[in-house]
Amino acid sequence: MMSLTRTNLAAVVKKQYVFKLKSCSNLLISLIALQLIAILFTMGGMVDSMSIGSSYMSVTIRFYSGDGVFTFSLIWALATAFILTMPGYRNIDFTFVGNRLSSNLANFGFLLTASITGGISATLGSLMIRNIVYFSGGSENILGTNFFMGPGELLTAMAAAALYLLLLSAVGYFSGTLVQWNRILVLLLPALVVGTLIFEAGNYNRRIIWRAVDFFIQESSLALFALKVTATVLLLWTGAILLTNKTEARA
Amino acid sequence: MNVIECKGLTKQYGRIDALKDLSFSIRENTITGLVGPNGAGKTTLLKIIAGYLKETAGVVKVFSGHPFNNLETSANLVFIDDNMAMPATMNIEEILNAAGSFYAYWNRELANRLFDYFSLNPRQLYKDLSKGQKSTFNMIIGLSARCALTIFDEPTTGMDASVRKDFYRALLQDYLQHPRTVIFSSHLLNEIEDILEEVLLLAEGRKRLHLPVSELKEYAVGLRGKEEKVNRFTRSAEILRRERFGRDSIYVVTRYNFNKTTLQKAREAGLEVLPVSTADLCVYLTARNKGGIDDVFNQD
Amino acid sequence: MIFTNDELKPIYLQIAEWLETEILSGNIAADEKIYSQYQLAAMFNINPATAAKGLNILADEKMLYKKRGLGMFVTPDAAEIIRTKRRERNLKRWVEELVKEANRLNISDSELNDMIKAARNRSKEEQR
Repeated sequence: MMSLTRTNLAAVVKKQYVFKLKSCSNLLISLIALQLIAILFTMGGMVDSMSIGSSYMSVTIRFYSGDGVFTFSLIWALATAFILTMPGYRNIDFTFVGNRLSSNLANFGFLLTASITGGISATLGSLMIRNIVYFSGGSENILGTNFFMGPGELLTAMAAAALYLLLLSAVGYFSGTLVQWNRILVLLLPALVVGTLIFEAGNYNRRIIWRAVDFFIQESSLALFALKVTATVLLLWTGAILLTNKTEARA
Repeated sequence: MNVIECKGLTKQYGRIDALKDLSFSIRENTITGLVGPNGAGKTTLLKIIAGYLKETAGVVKVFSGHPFNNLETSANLVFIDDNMAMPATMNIEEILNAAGSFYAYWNRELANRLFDYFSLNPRQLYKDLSKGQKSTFNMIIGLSARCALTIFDEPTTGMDASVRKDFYRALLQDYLQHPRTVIFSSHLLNEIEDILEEVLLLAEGRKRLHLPVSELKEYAVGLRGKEEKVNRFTRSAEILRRERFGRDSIYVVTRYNFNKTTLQKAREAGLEVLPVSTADLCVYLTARNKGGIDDVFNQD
Repeated sequence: MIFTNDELKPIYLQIAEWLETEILSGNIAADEKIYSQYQLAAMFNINPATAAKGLNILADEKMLYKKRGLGMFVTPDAAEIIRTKRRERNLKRWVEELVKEANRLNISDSELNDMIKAARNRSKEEQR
């Protein structure tokens, strides 16, 4: 008789996480590729510039920003998390050993890893833009707020970027789970968001979505910001776990 | 000890019953063939056993536990079908190694030997394999995982006859050395019946039969000859199939509950007494129609 | 696979008969260990339960005995049992059928005897 193996959740999640890092390596590569493209766009003049001139002299001011790299990364986090909940990726979690909870936890592990990697590389990317500007444009011509970063600031920037990515990935994951839970939400969810935005455009005192955004971006303390993000992410993850726990796999 | 126990198992998709009031049990370390026509509910049943789908009503127990969403069940079973979700980024050698990391009794040597025997290219991506190669690769995972419960759901899609033969042989050999519970669903009962111990026949979501193969072989007998003579011998018997041919001849399949002398008399009366293959028998037992496809063309 | 599947005879009976023939021909002697169900399963590519069923027929008819933990062995009178059984059950029936067919074809006793003798001579020559 073949004896049964005992197993525990942590062991399975670990195996699934390692497998996911390999099987979803294409997603991580796409993040780095996206960030490099963003840097190229930024340097190539996808930035505002303005020229003031007279017959005697002309001044051209270029605005460079690391925002492009960061924005691209945010979109990536949202989309990737959404994709992970779709059957194409989700079913792979049920090819070998696993259940719904282990599949979700392994996905969270992957998104956490991606957010930290993405946060670091996005910050380094914006640092790279500064370097290129500094060395190509000449240091004497730079008018910048916070152009020079100390190591402490750099770490803060990385942490903040990682937290934003994590937040967006949690939003993407939760919406993806909702859509998989009930397909009608594919239409309802975007309609609801756009509808609210349009409705609220005229009602300044009832701007729920903008207030929600402000709740995060207006926070000046990194510790409080981290707390807000962590709480929100945990809430969204729990929601996703509860939604998937009764759904059928490989159906 | 029973590895699987189902009692009154029912599964509904909307208003349609995919499985209805199904009760059976499967003993430990047996190879069971799951057969039945398309839409009989074979895959639904196997996916409930594997914990992917949730039953609508009734009781299902695998290793004495409820399989749905159960990690213990999942760790002790491997489910192989022709629709395995595999990552597009990894080559099949990497996938094979990854598969090995999940199973406690994974036999790496067996996996590698089978891999070489079927000359798969380790550098190839799963999605680039042919249908038959995919099935072969899946089968290697199913055998090498050495799980206490091994489920094959139509695993031979696209395999050519010689690979199928090798597969059945490999399954039997490995089972002899490492007995485990195997469920094998297939439309090719005649190919697999020799390695089976039992057959579970489903039709329209219900159990039609669950018997040792040896009993299935003696379950029915075919009589062929002049209609009146055949009728004389089959008057009180349960008719499973009736086909007419020629002007006044018929072929009738009935339950085999004659004694030997009756059969001898039938032979002497000029009737042909024919064995009924298990595959044909399963078709007859699950057909809605006693005359088969010919009933469509002969309407009187 | 040496057995024909389209025969009415189930595989376990075919296995039993094959084993009987092995014993009868002396390939497995008295008190010698017979094939295990697993060996038979691997040899004939069949489920071991089917093979066990074949072995059990021989055990039930006292051609095999069990040694705890060691397997099944051929009884000293196995060959004799098989010979008697085959003569009583098979040969008699075949002879009866033979006679019936001969009657249908109006073959005389001496003609039938000659045919049997000729057949026996041919088989002796083949064995030589």
